[in-house]
Amino acid sequence: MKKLVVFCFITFASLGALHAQSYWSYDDHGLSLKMPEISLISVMPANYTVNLSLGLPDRAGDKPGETGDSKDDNTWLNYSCSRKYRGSFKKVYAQITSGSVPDGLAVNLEVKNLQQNGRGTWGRRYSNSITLSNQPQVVVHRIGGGCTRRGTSFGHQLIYELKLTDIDQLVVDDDKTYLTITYTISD
Amino acid sequence: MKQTALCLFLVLAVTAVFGQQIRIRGSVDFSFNLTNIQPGEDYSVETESKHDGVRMDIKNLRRQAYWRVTVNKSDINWDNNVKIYVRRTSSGNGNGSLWGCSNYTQIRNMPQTVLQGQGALNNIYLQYKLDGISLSLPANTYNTDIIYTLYEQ
Repeated sequence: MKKLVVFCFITFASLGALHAQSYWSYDDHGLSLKMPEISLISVMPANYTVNLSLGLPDRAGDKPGETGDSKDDNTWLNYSCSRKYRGSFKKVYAQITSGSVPDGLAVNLEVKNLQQNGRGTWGRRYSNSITLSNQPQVVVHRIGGGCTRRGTSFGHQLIYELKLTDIDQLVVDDDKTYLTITYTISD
Repeated sequence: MKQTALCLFLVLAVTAVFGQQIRIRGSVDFSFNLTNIQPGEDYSVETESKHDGVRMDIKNLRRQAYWRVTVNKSDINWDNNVKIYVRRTSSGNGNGSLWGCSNYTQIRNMPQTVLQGQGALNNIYLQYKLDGISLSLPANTYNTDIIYTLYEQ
């Protein structure tokens, strides 16, 4: 009993001494930041339709086409992308998803590298130009976490050109042919 | 045995009565998704939490004792490119008063004093800001603990 009393006395004395001086307590809370893996792509300006026409030859004996009307450089590819740590780089694929190019003609696509810097790690064009088909083809590769910035004159400029490939197969038709070109960003 | 238990109870009771206490309620979750950006854009570099997402109480002080609070973070998995800031958006309720932390202060891994005051206060609202958000950050969920330490003076 005596020991207990002494123990209690020392304990209370210590508490009192501690309280008379500065001491502390603490508490904490969690803070989290969730960054998802995203891939977003668009062609700017939105709802723009590319019009290409072959053009008539000026003189007998000349080939049709290869006028200014057979080319369009008014559209730009914008994208935003993030990836996991050590995740794979992303690529952009282009393909014709509806309609088909008339016989004797081809639509070539040239994708330019960025003229104005984006942010983070943006991609580079995969080749000088491709002939569009209904099969997906890589046009931009090595896209890491980053973006091109948004709007015309940002991102990759797209240059479409209508080419005459075989005049023998060319059929004169006043109707327009509509194509849908789809760009997809993925691993 | 009974006497030991009684003694222990008394010690705990005295500690509870006399021990000053800081209490934090709430947590902060920053989350981004596809609706936050358009193709071609990056995330906004800065983002703020709700102004009242976290509440701090300071209680069990000696009568009108002066105190100070330090803050630091303890990273679980955090990217050092993202800086965390805190500020108070209220002065709390109670008989006490406080000063400091009305502007954003960066939270580092080393403790630093952010708030000082006198007397007990409840519901001191805290708001957080993150700086350095970008698509360059690898996709992940990042976590850290924010630790507040109260010193009675």
